[in-house]
Amino acid sequence: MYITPYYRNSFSPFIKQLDRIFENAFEFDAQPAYATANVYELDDRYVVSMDAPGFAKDAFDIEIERGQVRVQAESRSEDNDPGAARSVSRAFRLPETVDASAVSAKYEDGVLSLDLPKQAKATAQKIAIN
Amino acid sequence: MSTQITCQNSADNASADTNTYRRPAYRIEELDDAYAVSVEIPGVAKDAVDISTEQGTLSVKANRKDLVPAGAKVIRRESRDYGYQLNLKLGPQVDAQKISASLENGVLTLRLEKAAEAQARRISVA
Repeated sequence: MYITPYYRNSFSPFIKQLDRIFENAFEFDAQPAYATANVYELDDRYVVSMDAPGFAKDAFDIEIERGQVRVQAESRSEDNDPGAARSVSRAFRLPETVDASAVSAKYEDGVLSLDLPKQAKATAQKIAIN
Repeated sequence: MSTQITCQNSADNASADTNTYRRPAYRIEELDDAYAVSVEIPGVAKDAVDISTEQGTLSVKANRKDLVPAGAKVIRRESRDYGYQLNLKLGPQVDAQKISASLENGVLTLRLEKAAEAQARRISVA
């Protein structure tokens, strides 16, 4: 089981259907500005990377609640120019195998990456026969 | 917005390279003595940006590094291994010799000085 995408906007049913077609398990929420994201699975963790150029590191607000991780960032322009004020927000529903207490994030070259380790018991183990 | 700087990207934004380049989001602001161009190139490190001017055209080419972790299974991939390419035609009011650039948090900021004769002059009343 993976991480399952969902949307709050009006395209929701259509996109959910698309996600089923692609068997994607992450749930996605793309309001108010769509941030391009990639999701990868490794043996022991998931990695989500999201394009969010032009923000300060401390502009990000990342919350995990009820099995969902939500990333929000807002930048305000110094001269109140509405064209320069930007925000991104995106949410992902996490599979139960993610250890929510061990999630970490980094911001590099305008890309926010989330590292979502799987709980130890969810990691496949190879057992050797003696 | 200034008509002194116009986009010259080809219609399909694809180059002859094997990689696909797409036109990045950009914004031009006019200042008193310069134009400030901000170009969004997330995922690009400083040493992967190539900026050049030739025959009045400013070209920005940037290569995104491969972000797929080794051995990872792709669950969802919305951005591909593309690079960014932006070609801006500079008008005579831009001094192509005086262009400076900085890259911070995935945003490339280019400062294009106006040619001396194009700068607005402030005349104070004596």
